[in-house]
Amino acid sequence: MLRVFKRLFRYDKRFRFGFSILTLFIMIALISLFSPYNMKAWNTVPRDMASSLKYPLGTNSMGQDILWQAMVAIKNSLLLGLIAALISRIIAIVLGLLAGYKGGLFDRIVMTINDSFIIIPLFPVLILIASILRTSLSITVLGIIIGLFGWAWDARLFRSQILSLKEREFTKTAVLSGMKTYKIITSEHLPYIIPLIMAATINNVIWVIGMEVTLSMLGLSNLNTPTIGTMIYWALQYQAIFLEKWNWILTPIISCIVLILALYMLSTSISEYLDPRTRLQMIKGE
Amino acid sequence: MKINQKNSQSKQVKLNQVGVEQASSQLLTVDDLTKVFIKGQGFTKSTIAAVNKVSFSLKLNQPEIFTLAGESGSGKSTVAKLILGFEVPTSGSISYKGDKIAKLKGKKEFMRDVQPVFQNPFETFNPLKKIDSYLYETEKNFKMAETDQDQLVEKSLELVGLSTAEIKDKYPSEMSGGQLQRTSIARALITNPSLLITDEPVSMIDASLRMSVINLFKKLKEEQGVSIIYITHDLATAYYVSDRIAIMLRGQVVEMGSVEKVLGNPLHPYTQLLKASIPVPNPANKWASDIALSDLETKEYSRSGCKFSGRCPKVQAICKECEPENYRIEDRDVKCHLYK
Amino acid sequence: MSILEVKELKAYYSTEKYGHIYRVRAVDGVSFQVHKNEIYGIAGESGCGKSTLLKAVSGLIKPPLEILEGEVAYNFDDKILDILALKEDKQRRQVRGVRISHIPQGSMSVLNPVRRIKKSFEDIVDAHQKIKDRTCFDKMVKTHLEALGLDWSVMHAFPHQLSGGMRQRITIALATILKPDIIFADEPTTALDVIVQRGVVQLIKQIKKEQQNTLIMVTHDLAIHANLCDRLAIMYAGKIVEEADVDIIFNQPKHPYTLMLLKSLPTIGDKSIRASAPGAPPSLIHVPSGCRFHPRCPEATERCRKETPELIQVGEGHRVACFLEEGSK
Repeated sequence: MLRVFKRLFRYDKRFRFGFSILTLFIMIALISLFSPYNMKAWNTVPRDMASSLKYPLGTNSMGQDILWQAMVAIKNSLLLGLIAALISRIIAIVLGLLAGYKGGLFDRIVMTINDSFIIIPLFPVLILIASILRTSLSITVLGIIIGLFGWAWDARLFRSQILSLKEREFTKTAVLSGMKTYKIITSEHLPYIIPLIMAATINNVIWVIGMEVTLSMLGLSNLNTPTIGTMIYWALQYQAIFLEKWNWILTPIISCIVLILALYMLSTSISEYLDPRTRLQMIKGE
Repeated sequence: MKINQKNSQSKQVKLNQVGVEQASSQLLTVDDLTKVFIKGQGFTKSTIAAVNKVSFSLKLNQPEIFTLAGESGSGKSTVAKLILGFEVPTSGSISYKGDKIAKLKGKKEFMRDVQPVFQNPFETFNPLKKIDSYLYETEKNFKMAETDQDQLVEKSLELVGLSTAEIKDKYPSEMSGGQLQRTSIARALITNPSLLITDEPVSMIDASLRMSVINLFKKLKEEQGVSIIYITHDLATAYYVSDRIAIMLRGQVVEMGSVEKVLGNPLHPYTQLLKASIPVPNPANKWASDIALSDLETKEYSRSGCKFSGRCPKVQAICKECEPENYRIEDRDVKCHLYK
Repeated sequence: MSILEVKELKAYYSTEKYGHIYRVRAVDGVSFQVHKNEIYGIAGESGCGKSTLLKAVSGLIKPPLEILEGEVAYNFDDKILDILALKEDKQRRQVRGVRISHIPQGSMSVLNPVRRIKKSFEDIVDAHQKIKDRTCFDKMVKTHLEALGLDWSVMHAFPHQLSGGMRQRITIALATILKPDIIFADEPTTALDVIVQRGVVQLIKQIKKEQQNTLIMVTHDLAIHANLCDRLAIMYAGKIVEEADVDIIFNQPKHPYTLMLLKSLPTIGDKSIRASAPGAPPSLIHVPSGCRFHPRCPEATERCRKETPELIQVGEGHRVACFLEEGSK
């Protein structure tokens, strides 16, 4: 594992960039736990201060320290992404694999449900739920809701991979070698599925963070909880662009872009490394 | 359609009785085997009889290499899948040592006794797994060795001309097609089978290595008493290695008999055309005449008379109307009106 | 007169993955000449570099394939054209469509599955000489198809409606519609049934008769070479090991590898035991030292392990790369 990590870190620029940035963001999230201010409260510091030693990125018009607020926002956004991705992954993997392996009626029922989830206009539904639950919409609840809606595409992806693996000749060889189904899944098929799951997971985190920003910017989440989305929302509410309060509006936007870029690069680099074709090439060369 | 089914059912009952009587002396009996595939849905739905009333049998305790030969789309691979239980026949039956395959399917004893060798050795093994794992896995799962694990693996590798050292810790991509195919055969031999079903085992292997696999089949038959069903489109290797041959055309067996008879002096016009079309590796024997090529595939499947009547040089009026029966002539079965 | 002259061509695939450099020596110092109006065959097992040679010679050079050294000179109407010197891909493409043509192995990769056959013909003609007049185009295609014994009705079919053999013949018709001077055929008969194979060989012969062009035929099937080619080169591990007229190759082969290949071919009517060759072709990433065939050669000596034999002339148009033949020079 460590060897793989070293190799990736040394030879893949994308991995180096993605991994460093992500580590930085995770550290920021950890430091934010020691925030000296209550980020839900207003007017804990003087308003509209410029950058100074005491307030490195200044303060906003609501009387909050921008640096500390951004750090807490990053923590909350990452947490949200993690919760939502975890839930949608569990559903997608379980349903996708079961549908792929079982086939028949079970497959058809699951895929019908799956297809309904794919064609439901997700955004209006989320708006509806968010506006009903608005006040009680904590990070965990929002994560669960987004997670419950974000599994359908990936379940289909995993299922299709299973279907094609099932038809590969080496699966038949495994069956005729007397291997049990679970053994075939774990030893023959997982090496092909894991890269797919990893790439899909990171992409899902990206999607969740983006979804939260969209919902918050429309004012459809719990606006007292600082996230990247709510920070942008409040900055816009206070006309940060017209009043040229760049610290306030740009901090969440830039962190959001950098975070998504880092995750994307990480996902492409990992999936390329784990791609069976790359691994084959490396077997041949060594 | 319904009437047809009834007919074939009653026929099947009759044949089954015959099958029971002969059960003791047959290793494998294929009776009136038919497999119909349905293509498309709704308006475009059409059926194709990929295997159409195929019958043959292999004798017990009398190992032989039986070739099923034909072009692509002749249904020869479907027969293999039906025997191995990967497909379910539409009608007809397959019995192994007197028992119906439908009952045996998935049973360990049957899987141990009948093992396949696939066409593409590069696809037979998982490219991400070390190749020797399959041999040990087979041994373990079928509980073949009680004491020494390595001994049995070594023995079966030795049979195919390899050694444990040669394949230890190797990935499939590190080996040649011939080596892989021989390893695949070694894996099949671990369970000490009575019947090997090999579907185009050499078509993906390089010319210089092809013979290593073909010669191995001969050796297995003679020394180990394994019967082999050799499915191929390559008549030259079929002639070299096999005892009996069945020529298939669009799901039907058109000529069946000893390989020397059928390929030495073919009687069915299709076999004659096939034989004449094999390129001979000798510049002195170039093809002289031109030939007619087949129509659309689906057209030939649904032809009501003889399937070959569309391009047969000796076609008569009757060929287009009714299907010929099997005629026994010169020690072989020929499905052609010419030999009525 | 030669239409194509290849000199000391070296084409390698190089890729770098996580600090490892993989260099596949697919074509390693190959020289040959192709005469005008002949069928030149290149035979060899899979992974011997024959397809790469074809790519390099026809100027289809894309990374990771790179040309290290060598020269590929065509002679069209007494004008010498070095295709490797053409820097622009666009210029090469002009040469490729009109002067040089390529018959690929799989017909499905050439014919667009959702367009009728006629559209494919239109596309290829349009790319090189703008279709001005519809009836003129129709006439041109019609005469071409008629000359090849194909029916005009196939033009309105979709690829999936045709049998594999018919598709392969359409592909060949498509590759030759612009009457190229030189045609490269890469395993055009592989994966086809024997009867269809015969039809394809028949068609290729007919095109050559009709258009008076030169054909380079690459396949591993020696029987096809025997039926079709005038001269034949045998490749092994990135090098040509023997080259001669087809009759000489089949009747008086000199190189131990050629002998081995020919000995392993079974024929109908002959059940005598055929020996199989020992060992396996080497990987082109780790090639053996000296003569590349020495690990499998029954006559290998100490010298074969150390030195690489040159391709030397041993008779009229007969070249062999083997130390055994040095004395008979």
